[in-house]
Amino acid sequence: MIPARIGIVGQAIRQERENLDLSIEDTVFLTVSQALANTGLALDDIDTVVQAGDDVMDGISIQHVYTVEPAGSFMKDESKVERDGAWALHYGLIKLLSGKFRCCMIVAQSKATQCSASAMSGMGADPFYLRPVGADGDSIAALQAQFFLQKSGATAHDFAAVAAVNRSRGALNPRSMAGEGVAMSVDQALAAAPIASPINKATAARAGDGCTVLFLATEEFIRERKLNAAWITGFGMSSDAYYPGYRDLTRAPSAELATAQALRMAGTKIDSVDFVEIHELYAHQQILTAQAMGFKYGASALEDVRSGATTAQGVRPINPSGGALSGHVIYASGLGRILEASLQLRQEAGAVQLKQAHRALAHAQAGLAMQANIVYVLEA
Amino acid sequence: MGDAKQVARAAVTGVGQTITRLKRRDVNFPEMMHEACVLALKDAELQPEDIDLVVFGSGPEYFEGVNEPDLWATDHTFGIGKQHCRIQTGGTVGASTGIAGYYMAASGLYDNVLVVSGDKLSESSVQKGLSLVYAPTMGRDFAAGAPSAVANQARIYQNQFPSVNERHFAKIGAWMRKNALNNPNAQLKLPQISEEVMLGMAWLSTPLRLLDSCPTSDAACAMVIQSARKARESERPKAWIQAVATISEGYNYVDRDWSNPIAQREAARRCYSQLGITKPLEELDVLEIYDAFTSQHLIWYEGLGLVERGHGADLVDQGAIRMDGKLPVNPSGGVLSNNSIGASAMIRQAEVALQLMGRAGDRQVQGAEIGLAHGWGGAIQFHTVMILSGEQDFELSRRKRAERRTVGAER
Repeated sequence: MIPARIGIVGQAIRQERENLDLSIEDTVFLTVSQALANTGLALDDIDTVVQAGDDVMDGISIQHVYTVEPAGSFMKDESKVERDGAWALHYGLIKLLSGKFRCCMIVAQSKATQCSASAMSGMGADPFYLRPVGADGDSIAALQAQFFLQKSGATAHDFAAVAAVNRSRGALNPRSMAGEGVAMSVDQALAAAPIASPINKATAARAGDGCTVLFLATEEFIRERKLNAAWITGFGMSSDAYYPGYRDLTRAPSAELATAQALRMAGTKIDSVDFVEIHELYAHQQILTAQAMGFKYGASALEDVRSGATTAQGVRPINPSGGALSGHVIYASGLGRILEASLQLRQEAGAVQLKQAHRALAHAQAGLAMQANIVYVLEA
Repeated sequence: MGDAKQVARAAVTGVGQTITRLKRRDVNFPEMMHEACVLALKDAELQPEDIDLVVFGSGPEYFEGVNEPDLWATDHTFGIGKQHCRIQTGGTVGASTGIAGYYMAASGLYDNVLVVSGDKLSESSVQKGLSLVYAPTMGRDFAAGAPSAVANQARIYQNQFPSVNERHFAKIGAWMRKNALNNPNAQLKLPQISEEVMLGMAWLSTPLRLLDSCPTSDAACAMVIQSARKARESERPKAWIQAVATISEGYNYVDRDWSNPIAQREAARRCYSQLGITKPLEELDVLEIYDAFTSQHLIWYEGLGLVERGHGADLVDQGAIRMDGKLPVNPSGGVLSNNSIGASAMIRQAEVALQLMGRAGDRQVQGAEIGLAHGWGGAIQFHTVMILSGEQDFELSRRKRAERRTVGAER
C-alpha cells in the first residue's frame, strides 16, 4: 500500500504542431502561469519542483538552467529527471511521501520543431552496434510492429483502426494538438504516407511543441485548500534490456511488471479499472501495452480493438483523450496521459468525459521499442 | 524545527568509486558505470537482486555523445526488471542523484537503493559540451567553456575583496593536491606540488592559472542507500543522511552577483536550520566541496556560512582547511584532483560517508562524526548540500563530538 495519500490537484497543457512565436522559456512560463491560475494556487504554495526535459532536444547543455526562472523554481527546492515527465512525477511523489514537502510541481517540455526528432532518437542509439545501421525510434518501432504482425495475428487494418479511433477522439478534445487530432476513417489511416513499414504517418505520433504542468499535493494540503483531487494509489515501473535484439519485441515484460506492481500497491485488480490512458507512440504499441497490462474484455486486447470495446463508448475504453497520436510532445506526452486520466477522475475532462471514471491506469514509456515503462493507478 | 529530535531515515551503507584516469580506454561508458555499481554492492554486502530501485545520473549528453545514456546502460547498472530512473542537473548531477536516492529510501517505499553517477569526459570535447550551456542567441558566440565563466566569478570576487590574491589560490591548489596523494581514487597526483609550482603555471584565464583548474577524468561513483529500517539490521559502519537540499537560483538576471552564491546559502541554511546548526565552522568535522577551481573555495566557504562574506581567505591564512586544521576541507583532494563532472558531486557525498564510517584510509580525519557534502553546477547557479553523521540520532553524534573535545582538552 502507498504510505500516504497523494493527489493530482491541477494542471495545464499546451500542445502545438509548431509554434514559432514562443521560445521554450515562453512556453514553460505560460503553461506554469496557466496551471497556477487553473488551480487557484500561488507560486509560494509550491514547495518543490521536478522538471523533465532533454539537453539534446533543446540543443543546450543542462537545459533546465533556462527553465528554472520561467518554471518558478527560482530559489526553490528543484531537480530534473531526464526522461518523460511521468518519471519526474514519480520523483515528485516520492518527495511528498518523504514528508518534507506538501505541494510539488512537475514541468515537462520540448520543442520538436527546433530539432530533428529522428536525429535525436538516433543519438539514443549506442555508437557500436545500433548507430552504424542507422537505427532510430521509428525504425526500431517498425521492427517491433512487424514482429507483432507476424506473431499476434494483427493486421495493418487493426493498427489503422487504433489510429482512426484515437485521432477521431482527439478531434473532440480541445487539449489535443491541432491538426493531429482530426477525425479520421480507417481507410484514411491505411492510406497515410509510409514512414517505416508497417508504420505510417497515421499510426505514428508526430512530435510538436509544448509543455505539460501538473501539481501533486499531500492529503492535508488538499483538504486545507479544498482542492479536487485524483488520488495516486499505486505505481510501478520497470525496464527491459537496452538492445532490441535481446528482447521479444512483441511483449513488454517491463510494462507487465510495472502494471502488476501498481495494481498490487493500490490493492486492486485489472478488472476493476474503468479505463486506461496508454502512451502509444505508435498504434501497435497501444494494443501491445493493453495486452501487457491484461486490460481486456474479450479474448485478447486485439479482439477488443476489433469489437469496439476499447472506444470511449465501449466497455474497456483506452485513450478516451485521443492518446499521444492526437498530441505528442516528447518528454511531456507520457505525463499528458496521467493528466488526461486525472481530469477524467475529477469529472473535468470536458468534451471527452467518460460516464464511468472511478479508477484508471495511466502509462508512459521511454526508450527504443518501449524499453522502459511506468504505470500509475489513479482513483477518484 | 531545530528543537525536534532529528533521527535520520536513510543511510549510506556502501560506496564504490571506479579507477579514475584521464582516459579509461579499457571500458566503455556502461561498463564504467557497471564497475562503480559492483564496487558499491560489494561494499554494502548486497546482491544485485536485493536492490529495489536504481537512480542513475550523468551529465549533459554532449559528454558521451549518446542521448539518454541511462537506457544504454540499463543492463550494466542492474536495471533490467527493476525500477530505474535518471537525474540530470549538470555539475551537481552526482549529488542530485544521491539526494534522489535519499528521498527514495526515506519515502518508506524502498529499502535498498542503488545510486550511480559518472561521465566519461574523454569521449568528447568537454569545453565544447560545456559551452553549450550558454544561450544560443546571446552568449554562445563568446563562450569558452567553464574556465572563462569561473575566471569572471573570481575577478568579480577579487574586485570586491582586493586583499584576496593569487597566493591564496596557489595555497589551496597545493594543499588539495597534497591531500590527493593520500587518495587512491584521485586522478591528478602531483608529488612535486608547491605554492611556487602553482604560481609558475601558465595562465588559463586570468586570474586563474592552469593548476587552479580541475583535470578532466573518466570516472563513476555509486552508493547504496538504505532505509533506516534496513540499515539498522547490519552492524556494518554506516553514514546517516540527516539533511539534504537542492536549490537553484536564476540563470542570468541583471543584478546577479556571481561572487555571492545565494542558492548555496539557502541550501545550507535549510539543512542547518533543520539540524539546529548555528556555527557550522565549529559544528562540522569534515567538508567535501565541489571545487572545480581554487578560487571557488573562498566563495563556497562564505556560501556555506563558515565565515562572513569577504572572509573566506581568513580560513586559508589560518590554515584551518588543512588536514590538521580546524575544519579539513576535501581530504580527498577534491574536484581539483578528479573531475569527471558526472561522478564528482556524488564523490563528495561518498567521501564524507567514508570519513564518518572511519574508512577513509590515509586521508581519514580522526574521529569525524558530522560532515557536509556540497555540489555545484549549472551556469554557476545550482547548489546541493547533504549533511551526514555517524549516528542515526543526530543529537548522539553531537554529544560524541562534545565528549571527544572534553577528552582532548584534558589531554
